[in-house]
Amino acid sequence: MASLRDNGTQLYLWLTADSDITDLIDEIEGSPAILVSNMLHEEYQSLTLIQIYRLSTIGAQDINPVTYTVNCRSSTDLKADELAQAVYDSINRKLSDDKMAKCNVYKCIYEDDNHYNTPIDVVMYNNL
Amino acid sequence: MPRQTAAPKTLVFPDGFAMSISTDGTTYTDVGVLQGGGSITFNWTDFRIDAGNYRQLVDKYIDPQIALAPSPVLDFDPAKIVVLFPGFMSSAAATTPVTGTDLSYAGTDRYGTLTRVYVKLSHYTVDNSDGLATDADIDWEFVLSNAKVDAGGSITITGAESSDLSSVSVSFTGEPDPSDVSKFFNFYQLTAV
Repeated sequence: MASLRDNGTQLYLWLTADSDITDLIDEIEGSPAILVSNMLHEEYQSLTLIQIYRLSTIGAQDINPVTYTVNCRSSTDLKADELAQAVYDSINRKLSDDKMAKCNVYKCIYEDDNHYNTPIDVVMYNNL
Repeated sequence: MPRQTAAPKTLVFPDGFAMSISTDGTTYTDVGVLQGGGSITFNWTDFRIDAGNYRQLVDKYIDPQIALAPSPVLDFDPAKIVVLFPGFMSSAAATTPVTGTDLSYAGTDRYGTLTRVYVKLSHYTVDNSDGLATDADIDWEFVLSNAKVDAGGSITITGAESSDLSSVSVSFTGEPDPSDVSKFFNFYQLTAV
C-alpha cells in the first residue's frame, strides 16, 4: 500500500516551494504556516495559513486517486479566496515526481469572527 | 437465504490478476495495471459424422478458438504497449522533441506478420507490487498459447472532464498450436486445503 502520508508530504513540498503562496501566509516557528494535520491548534487559528488533510480512502486497488482538502484560512473571505487562487494556480495540473494534482475550489466558508476558509479539494493521482 | 447446494464453496474473490505476454513461452513481460478483469470465451464449430452402424450420429467439434478479452490496460509504458501489439508495433529510442521512445508501425508494407504469443493471467496471493512474488505465490493461472491480436486494438486518451485514465485495449484469439502438440490453453488452480 502506498504510504498514507506520501501525498500530503508532496502537497506540503509543492506549496512551501512557491513564494506566491508563502508570501501570502504567516509563519510558525520560522517556517511557512502550512500544516498537514487534521487538527488545528487553537493558537494557530488566527493565522493566515494552509491546513491539509486527507479526505478519501486508500485501499487495495492498483489505482488510488486520493482526495485531499487544502484549507486556505485567513481573517477575511477576500484573503482566503486570494490564497486559494494562489494555491490553485500553483498546483492544479501540477505533474512531478510521478504525481499529478487536480483542484476543485469550494466557496469561502465563514467559520467564526475573522475566520474564513476557502477549501480546495485536490485529487492526487499517483504513478506509484 | 438457504443454501441449495451441498458443494463446498470455491469462490474467486474480486482481486484482479497480472497479465503477462511472451513470444517464447518462457520469458514474459508483465503489461501492468488492468482497469478491471477480463473474459475468456471458448468457441468451436460443431459438426456430426455418420458413424455407420452406430445408432446415432457422432458429435464432433472443429476449429476451437479462445477469445481472451482483458479489460483496458492502464500502463502507458511504451515497452508494454509494444508487447500488447505483437508484430504490429515496434519501438525505438527517440531524441525529438526530447529523449523518449517512439512507437511506430512494425510493418514495411501494406501488410505485415502478426506475431503469435503466449498470454498469461496470474493471480498472486501476496502483494506483488514489489515484483518479488514467485510461482509459489500463485493460486490460479491461465495460459493461452498460440494467440494473436486479430481484431485490432485501441488507445484511448481521456479528456480533462473524465475521471478515467487513458488506456490501451487489445483482445487476443488463440488456437491449438500445430507445431507444439496442439498446445492450446492451461488453467491451473491451487489445490484447496
